[in-house]
Amino acid sequence: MKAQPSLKIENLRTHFKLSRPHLFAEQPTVYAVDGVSFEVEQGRTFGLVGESGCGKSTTALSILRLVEPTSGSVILKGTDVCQLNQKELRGYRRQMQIIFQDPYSSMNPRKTAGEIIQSPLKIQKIGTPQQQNKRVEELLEVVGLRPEQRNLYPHQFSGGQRQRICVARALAPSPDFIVCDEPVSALDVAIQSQILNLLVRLQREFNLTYLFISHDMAVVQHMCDDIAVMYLGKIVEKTDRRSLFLNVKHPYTKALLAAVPTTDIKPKGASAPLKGDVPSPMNPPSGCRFHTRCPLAIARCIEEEPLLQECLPNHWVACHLV
Amino acid sequence: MKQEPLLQVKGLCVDFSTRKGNVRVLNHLDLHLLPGEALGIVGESGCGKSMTALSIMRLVPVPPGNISNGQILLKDTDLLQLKEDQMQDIRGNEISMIFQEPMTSLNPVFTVGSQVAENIRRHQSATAAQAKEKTIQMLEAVGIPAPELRINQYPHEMSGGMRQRVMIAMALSCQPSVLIADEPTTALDVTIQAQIFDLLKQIQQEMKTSVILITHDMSVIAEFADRVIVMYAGRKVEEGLVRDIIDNPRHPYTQGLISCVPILHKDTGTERKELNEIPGIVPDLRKLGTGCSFAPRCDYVKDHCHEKMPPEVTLGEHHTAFCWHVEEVV
Repeated sequence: MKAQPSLKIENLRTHFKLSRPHLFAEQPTVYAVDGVSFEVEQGRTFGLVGESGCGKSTTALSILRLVEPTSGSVILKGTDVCQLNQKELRGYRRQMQIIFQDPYSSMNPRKTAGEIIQSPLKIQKIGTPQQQNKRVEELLEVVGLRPEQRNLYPHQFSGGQRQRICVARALAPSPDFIVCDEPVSALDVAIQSQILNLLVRLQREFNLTYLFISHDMAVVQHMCDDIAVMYLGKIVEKTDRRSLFLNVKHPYTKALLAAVPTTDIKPKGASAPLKGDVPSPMNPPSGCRFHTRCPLAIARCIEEEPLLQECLPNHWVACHLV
Repeated sequence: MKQEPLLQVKGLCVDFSTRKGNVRVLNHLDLHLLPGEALGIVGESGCGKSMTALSIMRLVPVPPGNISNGQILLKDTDLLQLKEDQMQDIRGNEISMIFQEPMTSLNPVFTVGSQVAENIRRHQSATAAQAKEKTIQMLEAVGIPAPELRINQYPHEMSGGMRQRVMIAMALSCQPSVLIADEPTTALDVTIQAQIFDLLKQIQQEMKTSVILITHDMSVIAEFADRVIVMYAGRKVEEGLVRDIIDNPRHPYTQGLISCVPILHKDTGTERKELNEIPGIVPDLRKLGTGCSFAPRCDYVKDHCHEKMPPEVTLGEHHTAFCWHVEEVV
């Protein structure tokens, strides 16, 4: 069964121009997202993984146009979001919402939980105040909070409860598509599983489409149907969850997997960790962007940039050595 | 052969006085650390694991904090009896600590070199030139490329992983016998986390340093520690060798902590299973009853759990758990 793609991203680029160091210098540019394409089907979860600075959050923000993309198209249910003007965009935001990493810094501390959840309804002018009130109570229950907690302020909740409020706020205008930008990284392990289970339950209940961003391979494996691995603004490997872990191809994905600590017994020091840090996206390496840290790099990697190619059915890899 | 413990904590109690009354954040905690050993302390936020570290370093703010009971013995010295200037000779010299956030624990207005050298000059009678040389050596030992240039850089000029390496260099500059690492990799990427742990392991083996690793992540413990203490609401709930705890956890809380983390599988199959949850949240330490503090969230709970504190049950040579129902929890 092949469902209709709910979201289609084509060749998305987001570059940030920085100020010139001096009058005649070339303007430095950060290539945060550099030609990313993928599709997400309705009711499924698409995962983006990578280290910090690889452009996964910028991709998400560009899709929602919270950051203006430089070029490319974002087609949500047949409409190109990038072509909308501000007024049209505001109406369109009903269908796309976001849950941020740190629930505390993404809520106004001077508003009560009820007001926070109600705010998207007010902005979008959905329903009368009475209907909005009722909806807030419904939402609190859906995310596992008690209706009387609506009058409390963010600081009176625990981290997990705050993230539940953020989930309720994202659900308020009944969106189809929700971006989850590292929704559990700031939470305790015991609370992480509660929020992950909540997200899965809500997806089934409301047929939601998720774009799930995380640096944690285990969480991504648990949550996502399709996964793309990003490195310095580009997708290096893209496939469904089964194939990614069974037939892992790209050396960067392999390194990411090897770095995940596990509770299994494994020979100590078996995995050689990646050396060094992620290079600056202002001045990305020539050829394959991963060649500076790649254990297998050959001369061709330095000169020629590998393209994303289908090496197995629906398994795309950008590497010369595959 | 039974080894003499290097560091021993006996019956440690720490209270904080707040406007709403007295809060006991550590409740009769016992632990010991053997020479050359890596001890892991796990638990959720608020369970007292960082407070344990701060107590050992004598960095608990007094007031509002108060170490009301117990002993902390480093070899034969009780650290709690020392005067502040004596403690300063030990802190950073005999025992040192790596904090969670490398950015906030480095001073932004001094170069990293001067911050590492400061510790060396405080504890060793070294001239400025000797301290500088030692600093370069230390930065090289923790894997910072071009240390002679790096010592003149400020913390903001370095990446997160590099800053954490500087912290480690600083902590190790006087060859301490005990190193406390409080969530050293929480703010870092997985690939950098793996680098930092490899470095810590290598240093531990080379310098024969004993390490206390504080974390909320069981899989980090599994990779790094020899022995584990699981804490909940200011108390120790289970203690044992790392394989005992991971393969055969006997306290319901330990089981929950292990099973609620998604595990990376090679073949995922097509079905997605639901994760186990520990229901509810960490209790308010002001409102603890007389019974087991985990009782409200426990699956095995019976009436007497709410009333009486569970006894320490010995399950093996090194394995103990504090629960009324260790027999049922398998």
